[in-house]
Amino acid sequence: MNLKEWIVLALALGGTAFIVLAAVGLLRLPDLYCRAHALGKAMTLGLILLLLALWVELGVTHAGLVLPLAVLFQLLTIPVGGHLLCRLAKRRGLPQWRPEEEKRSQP
Amino acid sequence: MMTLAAGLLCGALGLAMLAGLWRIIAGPSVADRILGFDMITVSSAGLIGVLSMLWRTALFLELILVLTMLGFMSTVALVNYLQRPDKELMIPPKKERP
Repeated sequence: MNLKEWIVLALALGGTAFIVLAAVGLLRLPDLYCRAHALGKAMTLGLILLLLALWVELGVTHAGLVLPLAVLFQLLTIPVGGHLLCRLAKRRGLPQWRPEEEKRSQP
Repeated sequence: MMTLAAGLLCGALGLAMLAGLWRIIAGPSVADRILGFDMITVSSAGLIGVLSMLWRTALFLELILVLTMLGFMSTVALVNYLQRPDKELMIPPKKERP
């Protein structure tokens, strides 16, 4: 394996690890706001790393400039979607998780 | 080597899609379900990326663009729909029929 394949492998593994971390956060966190926080950061970074790995693998002559466009689009849209959802939930008064209540109800 | 790595990545992204599906089924509010849908869209875009990395083709790059754009547009449309004051964000549990 030469250097390019190692770079591609490292980028793709890092991106998939971040997407899996976002999935774990989506499953485990207690609240809509916490889940949107986990998704908005980790999923953006994971997909950007995966697309960069694909760009390194294919090369500019093959892939053109579609993949940087996709990266820019991800960077613009995924946080905006999370922010829209959180603003909607805040306006409609969705209950917010507080750690003290869980501590009080546990014993 | 590359085939093994691609299989591993596809399995991990499939697990992420299952997590999104579980959030769609179990999410207590409608906004949680929209979050799960976002998760499924992004993981399927990543899956297309991994597959075109394995097959070394540039045929599916526009598919990634279109898929992510559709996910974002559907999120915006659903949020705009839910902003009407008569739409419930928390769906109450169904009453037992007599």
